[in-house]
Amino acid sequence: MANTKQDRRNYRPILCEGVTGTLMNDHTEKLADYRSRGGYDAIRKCLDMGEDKVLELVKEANVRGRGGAGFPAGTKWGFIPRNRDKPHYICVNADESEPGTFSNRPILEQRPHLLLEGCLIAAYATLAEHVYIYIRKEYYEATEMIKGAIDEAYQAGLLGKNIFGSGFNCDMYVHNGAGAYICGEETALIESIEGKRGYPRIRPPFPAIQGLYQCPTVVNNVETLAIMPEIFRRGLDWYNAMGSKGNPGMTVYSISGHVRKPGNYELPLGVTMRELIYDYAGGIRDNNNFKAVYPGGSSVPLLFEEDLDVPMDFDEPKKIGTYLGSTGIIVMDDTTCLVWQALNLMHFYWEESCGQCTPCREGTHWMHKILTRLENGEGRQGDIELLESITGNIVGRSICALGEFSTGSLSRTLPRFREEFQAHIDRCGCPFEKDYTKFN
Amino acid sequence: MPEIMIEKNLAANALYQRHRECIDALAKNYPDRRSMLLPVLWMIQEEDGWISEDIMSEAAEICNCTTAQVVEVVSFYVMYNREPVGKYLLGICATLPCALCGSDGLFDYLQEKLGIGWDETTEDGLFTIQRRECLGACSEAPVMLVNTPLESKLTRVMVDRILGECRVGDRRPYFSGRNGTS
Repeated sequence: MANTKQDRRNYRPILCEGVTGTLMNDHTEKLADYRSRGGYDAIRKCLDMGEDKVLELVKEANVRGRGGAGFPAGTKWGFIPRNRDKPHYICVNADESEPGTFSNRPILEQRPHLLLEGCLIAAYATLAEHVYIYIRKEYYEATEMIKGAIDEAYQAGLLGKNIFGSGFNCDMYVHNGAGAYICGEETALIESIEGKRGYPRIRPPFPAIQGLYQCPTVVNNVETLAIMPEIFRRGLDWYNAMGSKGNPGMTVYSISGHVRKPGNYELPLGVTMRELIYDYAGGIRDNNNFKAVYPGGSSVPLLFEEDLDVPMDFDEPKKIGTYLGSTGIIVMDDTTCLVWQALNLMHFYWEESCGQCTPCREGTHWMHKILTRLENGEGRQGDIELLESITGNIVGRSICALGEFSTGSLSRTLPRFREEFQAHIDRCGCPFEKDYTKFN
Repeated sequence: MPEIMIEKNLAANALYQRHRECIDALAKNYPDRRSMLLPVLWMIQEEDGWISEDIMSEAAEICNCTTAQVVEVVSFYVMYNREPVGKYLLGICATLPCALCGSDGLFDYLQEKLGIGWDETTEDGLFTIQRRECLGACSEAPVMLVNTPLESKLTRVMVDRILGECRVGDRRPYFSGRNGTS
């Protein structure tokens, strides 16, 4: 483990002032509030440094993308050509749709200017003058808050032409989606802004060369961009002092499901799953026992009791076959049926598969059918083997990662809890009472 | 950068004429007109509650694309309604984090109270129930969208209150109607 428990305790008070900052107050930070806390000083500092030095510093900070893949933001920005032959674009991925993930919502709703300043830094470093903030339509309030903040920033001369008299121009626009999980995939998001179906594109060419309108484009997650102003305000040492080896900084862990205190917890990268569940989220509800947890949204394989001490950074979970993903943590207690939960999520992936690639489109459909019959007591001998065969045939055989994501609920679950699936076949039905489905 | 609206083409376009100011402003946000398609479809839905085939061709003219291209977009994105809906759209989050905290029961309760299932509308045209995937408020489960506001940590008592507020018209309807009233 890269961090000792002692280390992290020391960081905790500082972290409350990270990207989530004033979140606890449950109101939107206005421009005046934000500026009184040093808001828009970071972009001013950047404008003095010059584009190249800003890019160098972001590379040095090793900010790993918080959208799920953990790809270093500085490297991504570095792929953008250092000329202005074509317009460059920044697309902000605020399509937060990964089940169990709700860490972007409070940033959008309560700290909109932090995001806008992060966008300005990204635009300046990549020679872009246009920023599209792609917000899922379901986030009505977030959309309003971001639009309001953009208006405020224009009025104050923080957006538009010649920002801070530097000659740097930047315009920002909000673009709403219309209910498609796949638009969180960066090339599908670009298609959606262009007024098309959200079909992921085959790469290469990568968006850095041919992205939005065939021009160089950076697509970054909300949290990734929100970190940037804090790094320039507080310095690299502040950022690097937190986190685990190769995973500097903090992130917002969203914890939901069968815990006593669900919510967002901003903590250094590398905190263990056990600490997240028991020290922060208050442990399992109703004194029940822990059964399984999705560590990074519903698209990544589950962790079980024996895995709880894994540090939750971008590298450690990979060693046991799962991912930090979107840091959306869904906890399930021992009353939860693993066939039922897989069925719930398979409905989601079946519904959300864009339909371009056969393995994903057909695979999710078949898996949904099989899980439905298992749960309804119509399972057949051999269904488990069939599920294994289908999952094996989807992974690596689709344009984007959604195909692989659909197998997250099954890949580590089938070997570990095979007897639970078998029981559904042998007993012709679900052996669980599922009290959690009741509504009072 | 933005293409200027070719006015003569759109003189007979009723959708454009009703929303001229908004559409012209929107055109300044994008270097091509097709990019306006999703926002223009939202304008239609905010007015009518759904998107009819007739209006899709008007949208196509505005966005400089074919009607077929509009149809493929409308049918791809689940939040665009292809049939009329009630004044109050109840979008229940049905994905795992909410399902672990009672969303199946929430649907059963609404079904029992309103006598309708998924994607059905009550006879009085007041309510439609739709299934929504994860609404990104999992710590507040179970949640549902009542038109635009998100209602969280729902209980039977709260659902009764919300339905009552809708019935007496204390909440804004999902769509405005063509003259600004529904």
